[in-house]
Amino acid sequence: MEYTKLCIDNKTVHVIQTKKFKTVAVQVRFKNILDQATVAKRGLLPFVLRAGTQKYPTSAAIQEQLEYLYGASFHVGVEKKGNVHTQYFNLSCVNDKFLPNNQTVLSDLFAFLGEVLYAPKLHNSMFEFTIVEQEKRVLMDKIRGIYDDKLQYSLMRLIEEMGAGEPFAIRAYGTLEDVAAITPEQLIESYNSMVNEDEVEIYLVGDIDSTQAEKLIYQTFKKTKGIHVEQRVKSSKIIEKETQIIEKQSVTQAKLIMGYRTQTFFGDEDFFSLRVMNGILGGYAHSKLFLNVREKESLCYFASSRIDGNAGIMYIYSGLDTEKVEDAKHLIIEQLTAMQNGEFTDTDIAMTKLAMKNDVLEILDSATGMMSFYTSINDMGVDWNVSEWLMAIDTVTKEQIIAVANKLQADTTFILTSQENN
Amino acid sequence: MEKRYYETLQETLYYEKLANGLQVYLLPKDEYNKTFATFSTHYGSVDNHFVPLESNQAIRVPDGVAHFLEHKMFESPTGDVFQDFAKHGASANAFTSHDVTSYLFSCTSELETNLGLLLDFVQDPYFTSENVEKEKGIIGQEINMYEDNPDWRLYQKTLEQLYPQHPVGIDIAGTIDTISEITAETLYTCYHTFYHPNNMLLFVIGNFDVEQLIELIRENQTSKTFAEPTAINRTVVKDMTKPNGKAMTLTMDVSMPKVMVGIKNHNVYDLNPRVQLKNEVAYDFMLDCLFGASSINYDMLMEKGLINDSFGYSQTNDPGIGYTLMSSDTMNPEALVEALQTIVADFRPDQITTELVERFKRKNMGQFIRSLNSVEFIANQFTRYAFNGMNIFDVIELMNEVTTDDVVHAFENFAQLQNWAITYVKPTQK
Repeated sequence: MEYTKLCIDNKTVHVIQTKKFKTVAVQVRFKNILDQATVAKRGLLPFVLRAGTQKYPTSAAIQEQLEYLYGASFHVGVEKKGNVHTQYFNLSCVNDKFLPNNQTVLSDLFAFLGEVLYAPKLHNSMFEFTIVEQEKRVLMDKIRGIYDDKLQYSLMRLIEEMGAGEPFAIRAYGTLEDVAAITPEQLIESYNSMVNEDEVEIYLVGDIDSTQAEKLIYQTFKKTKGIHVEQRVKSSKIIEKETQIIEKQSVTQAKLIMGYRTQTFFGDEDFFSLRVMNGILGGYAHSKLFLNVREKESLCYFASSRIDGNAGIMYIYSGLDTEKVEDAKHLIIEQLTAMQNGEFTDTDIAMTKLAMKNDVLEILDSATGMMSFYTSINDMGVDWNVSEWLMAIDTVTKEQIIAVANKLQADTTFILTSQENN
Repeated sequence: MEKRYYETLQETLYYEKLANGLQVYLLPKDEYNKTFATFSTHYGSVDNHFVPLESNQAIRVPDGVAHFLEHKMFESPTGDVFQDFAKHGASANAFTSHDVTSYLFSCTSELETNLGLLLDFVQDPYFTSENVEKEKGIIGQEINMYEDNPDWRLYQKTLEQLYPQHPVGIDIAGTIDTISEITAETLYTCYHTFYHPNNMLLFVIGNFDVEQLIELIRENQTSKTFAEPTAINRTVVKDMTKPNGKAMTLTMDVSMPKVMVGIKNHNVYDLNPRVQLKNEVAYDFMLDCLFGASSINYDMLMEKGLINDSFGYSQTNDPGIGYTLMSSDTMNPEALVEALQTIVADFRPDQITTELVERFKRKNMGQFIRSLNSVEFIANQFTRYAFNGMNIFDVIELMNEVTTDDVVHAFENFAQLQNWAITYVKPTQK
């Protein structure tokens, strides 16, 4: 694997040359500032672009072309990180050398991407009303659907309550009302802003001819000037009072989600200490939460913790019998207190570090994993290789773990429980 | 070791059947950091009626035993098996399906130690009445988690309607009531019957030296003693019932209704494994023709607002079990079912053209090759098919062989509406 970072016509291009995969993967990202006023439009746009181009006027025609390209996968959407909102376009296709005859996969992929991004199907310089309405409906159904996954829904509600007024509470696709209100005129405006004003980043993974790739990138993205979007604002909020929210639905199992402020952000000096701390507490099957809440007390099937380094938060989540929520809460707080008091062994630290290093090496066995690894490196503003990343895990000490555990502040707890339970 | 090279896929597979009956497959991938290993038994939730080893009387065990057994394998007299793997930098897991139970780990270091751990913990059961009782709370919560999952409920209820007489219609985890009947003795009976090496398969894929690894496996296995391999006497059920378009409705706290249509395929008995696999390929092509994202039908359903992003279809063609599932979240589930029935009724086999089949060949071949980037996909799928006498790597060749006639034939079976069953999930009234 060889990683090269290039600047082509003002766009940042990350080329990861590797023979590991049978595919070539391309990811294009259009980035801009996360703003409640624009998220829904930016969220809808990739789907409308995917619904028709000048050359492939319907979504069926687009799909036909993807099938013709040996079942290439094409996924679009938006995501957010800190104060940055990203529209992504992911394409992946079988590498030529696994295909009969001589194929021209790389140029086909870029031709397709160029078509979707820069030759949308318009009528009188406007997106077609029926297409916009159809994609709005599909997106709104998707937003509604979060309610049906009770764990995902509970996590979303926690973030919403905990982050009220802060960027991390803004939903990547906006709200139902935001989407419902979008007009074709607003969408064209959003499209022009994306093409002319966004920062563009491109990732390429596979066994590729980089000279050819550079040429293709230059040609494909000529129309976008490319700017630089200033990233990351840290919002360290000091919590004075804990909040607890209880919501009732007709469910069998209760969900308990406990949110904490870590006061430690992605790129901070003690960020890796926080990651090791999280790993010992609830990242693995050898962690305190799994061992004590699941294995010892049989209270649940899952109990884990996770951190969001961009938002500076940690959350602990579990699914329980509705009668056992309070018991579990006490047990979880006990585990956290144990972390703060340094009640964990050198073996706990060693196992967690091994697991974390293993995770990184395994992530690098997938194309999307490689992209996310180098995204993290770039977001942290460092110039590390893999072994430097592993080293950062290794050098964390017990004292540092205790220190980050003591920076944690309980913020909001969200409980989803059954109607019958009082 | 037997060596097989697959030219199109550029993969080399090594195979050996050990003296105790264990099938071993090794697939080296030098570019990868990790190695992924699965140790699987051809035993799952459907094996609930069988003659135990050293007995001559068939017994019926409680629903959910195979899955319960999988959970309990992770306990050893010295403690928790997860910890042992964690100490050597590996993450371990397991899953139970209708016909396979797999134990697995992945690691990027200490492969030999971890592989030894895998072989040893699966071949050393330790069940006590105390640890069995304790597990009932954990699995109870796992069952309750699925109870609140509308997609799982939809799937489970549809299988139940398609197979009222076959255990594939029973939930893999069982219910809180059925697992309460499980004892350490039940687990030992199932273990001794189904965990003989002769009923098992080891698949290792990733970064390793083939010779060194097979030597370690041989040594590990010859150091243990097993009973003579015997054929397992499982009660085989042929469920030829026809669901006749019946419908069921579940009420759950969801944002919008969901519907699943299940279509039973009766052409799954006593087939040659290659024919079986080819039928599966033809079924995929047929479904792409009718409902794929490039079809006019998909466009029409979208335009009418009857489906959204959640629309999907899949099919299973195993020996004795065959069905297609189509599902979607939709504001108008009855209208969607009607539309699907009309599509099928109006479809003419001559719409399956050579050109279309060629395009789906490209699509399905490309997708299959793309999925081979995942070592987990290779190990899991290879194992599942191998237990049914099929080789997943043959699929490329079979895709090339499939003709429009095969696809038409798949459609003819699919089109019989008496093989359809429908399940709805509707929102609780508030």
